[in-house]
Amino acid sequence: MENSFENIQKSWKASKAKETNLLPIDNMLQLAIENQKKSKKAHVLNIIILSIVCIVISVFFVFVTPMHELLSQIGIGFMIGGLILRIIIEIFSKHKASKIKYDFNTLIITNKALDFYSWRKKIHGPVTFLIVFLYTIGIFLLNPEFTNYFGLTRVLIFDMLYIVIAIILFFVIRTGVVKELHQLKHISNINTDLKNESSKSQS
Amino acid sequence: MSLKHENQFQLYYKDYQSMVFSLCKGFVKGDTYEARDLVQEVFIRVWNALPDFKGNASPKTWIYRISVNTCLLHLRNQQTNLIQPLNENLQDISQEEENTPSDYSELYSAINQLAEMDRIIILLVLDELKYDEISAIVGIAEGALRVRIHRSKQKLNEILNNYGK
Repeated sequence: MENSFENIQKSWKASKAKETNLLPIDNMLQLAIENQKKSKKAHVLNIIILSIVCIVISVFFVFVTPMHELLSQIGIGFMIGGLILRIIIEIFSKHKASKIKYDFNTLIITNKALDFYSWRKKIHGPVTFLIVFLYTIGIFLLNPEFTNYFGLTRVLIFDMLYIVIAIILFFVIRTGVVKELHQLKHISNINTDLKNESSKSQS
Repeated sequence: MSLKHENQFQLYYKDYQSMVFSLCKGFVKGDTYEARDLVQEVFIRVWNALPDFKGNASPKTWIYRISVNTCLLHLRNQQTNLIQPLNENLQDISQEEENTPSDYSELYSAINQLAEMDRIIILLVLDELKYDEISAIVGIAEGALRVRIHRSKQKLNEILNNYGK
């Protein structure tokens, strides 16, 4: 068996001699630098967008067109509260993700990745849907007072438009959740495999 | 990042790109394009991790760790937006290369029939890493690793012996 494997090893070495055409050093360095910048930007961009939306809604409903009815104020509270909750989760999620370092051994990295994706599964999915739900309830609670200023027809059109956007948002979120669940299953399989080996060697 | 890191990165890329490429290529059934993407992904992670690299392990083991983890998590990750295509000249060359039939397709195909973790481990064995080095990369104790490698070698031999029968 060893002899056959030695032959395989010889073939493997021979196959390696053929490899060429990788990115030149300078281009690779440039790509790595650009990528790091892009990645950092992407991390904060989501938080910045959510914060801007949160500030705009707050300024609009507090200073530009203050709502007078209690129901409307509760609605605004739901909308802003949901967004703040989303921002906090986003920051916490980025912090947790940054702890997954690719230079750990595979058992450690899969433990950390498993912990991260399990947390996302537990928190991110249901909580994100809850936030969209809160936001939707918040919008509908504004309807009675909105009707006084804009009339029923305009408010109904606005509501219908919002429902369409909410449905699209639901499917976008769902796609992301399904993708992450696949990732979780994959990491979980590798992790279980490694843990089984570790437990066998200990017993 | 400092000039020191840039120099260090360039040195690592020069010294280890072939090693990373062959590991990646073996992992993706000899698919040169996908292996090149993986190499880029690996070195992007090497660059990101470089400031924290204190030299506790050898650069080779450290880069192997990043490569192994990138390969294992890559297929479900599909962060293709991170990757830039090679320049046109290089793509032309590589297309010519891709059209050349590979002598090693049987070998790649056989390796690919192993489970992902076994595939990675056997690729490290083929690269002549010692058991303690492989153990430090994947996190399996040496004793268990020996058994696993023995099984994988047997399976690989069987696959290759049955090839074309």
